[in-house]
Amino acid sequence: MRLKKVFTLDNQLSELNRLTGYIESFAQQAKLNTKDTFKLNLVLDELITNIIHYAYQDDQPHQIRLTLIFDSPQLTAYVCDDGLPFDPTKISKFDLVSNLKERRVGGLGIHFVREFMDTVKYKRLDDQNHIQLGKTFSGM
Amino acid sequence: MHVRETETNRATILSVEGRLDSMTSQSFEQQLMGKIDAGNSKIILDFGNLDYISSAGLRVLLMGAKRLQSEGGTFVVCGLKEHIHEVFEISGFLTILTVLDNIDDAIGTTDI
Repeated sequence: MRLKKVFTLDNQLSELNRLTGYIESFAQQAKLNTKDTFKLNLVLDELITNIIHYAYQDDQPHQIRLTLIFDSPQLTAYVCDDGLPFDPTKISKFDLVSNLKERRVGGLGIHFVREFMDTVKYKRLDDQNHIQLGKTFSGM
Repeated sequence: MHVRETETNRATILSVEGRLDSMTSQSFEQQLMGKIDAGNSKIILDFGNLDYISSAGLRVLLMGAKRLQSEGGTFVVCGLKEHIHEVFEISGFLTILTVLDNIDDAIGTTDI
């Protein structure tokens, strides 16, 4: 089975609901299970939320492009934005400090991306950030 | 996202349904911190009907837990669905928070 879908989102947190809808519909066609659908949603939510919060310094509307390709059992996701350069692969390893008092949540989103995806790649091209995620689903 | 509040003489139970993402976590933060500000020092979060949580939601939990710890209160999370439990595990939140399986165990811990 081969599926490809391209979505654009505005740089507003309210777009996250649409993101969930897109992912659920795509996952249903790809026949992903609930857990895998959830992880895909979480990973893309974290990346896109980061873009919305940090990528832009102007008040202008911007578009974020999400491409999902499923070539069973391999999923590839591309997230592309025209914001400030940001390479998620350069973020240092998340510090799992084991006591409540010292714990911070910064970097947790990228941590989920690394834990739940098999591959995470980045390039900066034509003033745009391109993130590429890869995941091979088992049991398909 | 919907939060149902139950006050018992042992604890305040907040049952969170739906999704805690960057949008909904803002209002959850207001509700949770509001309860703590109002003097509720024993809080149980019942996540039995929580379908989704992102780092934004976890951030609110961390805020609540730290605040209650510094004030000598208790903060317990219970009823995690399997995929939510996995998120807690991966993020280290199983270690730093008190997470129990069911609400009865959670109520039991507030009997200190």
